[in-house]
Amino acid sequence: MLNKVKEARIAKGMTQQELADLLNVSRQTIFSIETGKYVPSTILALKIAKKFSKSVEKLFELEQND
Amino acid sequence: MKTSLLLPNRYKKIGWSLFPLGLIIWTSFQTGLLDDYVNHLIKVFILTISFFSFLIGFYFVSFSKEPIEDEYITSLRLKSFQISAIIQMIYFLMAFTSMFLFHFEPNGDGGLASFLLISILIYWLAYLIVFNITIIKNNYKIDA
Repeated sequence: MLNKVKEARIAKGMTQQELADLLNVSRQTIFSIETGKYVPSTILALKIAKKFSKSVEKLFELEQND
Repeated sequence: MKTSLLLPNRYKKIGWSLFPLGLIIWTSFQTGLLDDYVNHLIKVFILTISFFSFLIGFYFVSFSKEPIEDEYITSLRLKSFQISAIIQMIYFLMAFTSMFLFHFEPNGDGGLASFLLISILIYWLAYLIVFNITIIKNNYKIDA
């Protein structure tokens, strides 16, 4: 799963900690999502999309082998 | 994973004090390092207390919540449990292979007790190592 969370966060001028605080998750979670080590749950993906006022499909993209 | 089964985060600090302290004292007395300083009764008492403080500390460290216990931490716990199970299985395979093929068997009751103790503790030790190393590695990368 590819994602554009890092790009969206930087575009908003937010740090990982600020985004983590907004979503009530740890900074480790944001780091792991951005580096592709962790695929968030549907709930968290929807929350992230809502914070950036984007659709989930704009932020998360399926890879060919997914 | 049901996070309600986990202890509050403050228990982790208590665990990190009890676990190494209990292990050091227990090992020191078991190896006879401090035998000259105490009589038998006190030695048994200290051995019991130190072993239980090691076990309780181990439990506190393993089953305490992180400051923020979210879905990533939960998935990391599950992954660490899976890796620990594989490590324990490898240990069992190696131990039984060496016993049956090379007749390398535990030496007496003490040896058997140690083998069983290690068999149980290796799982939890591997879990602690995998879980904490991943968190430390992530923190290091975040701060870098």
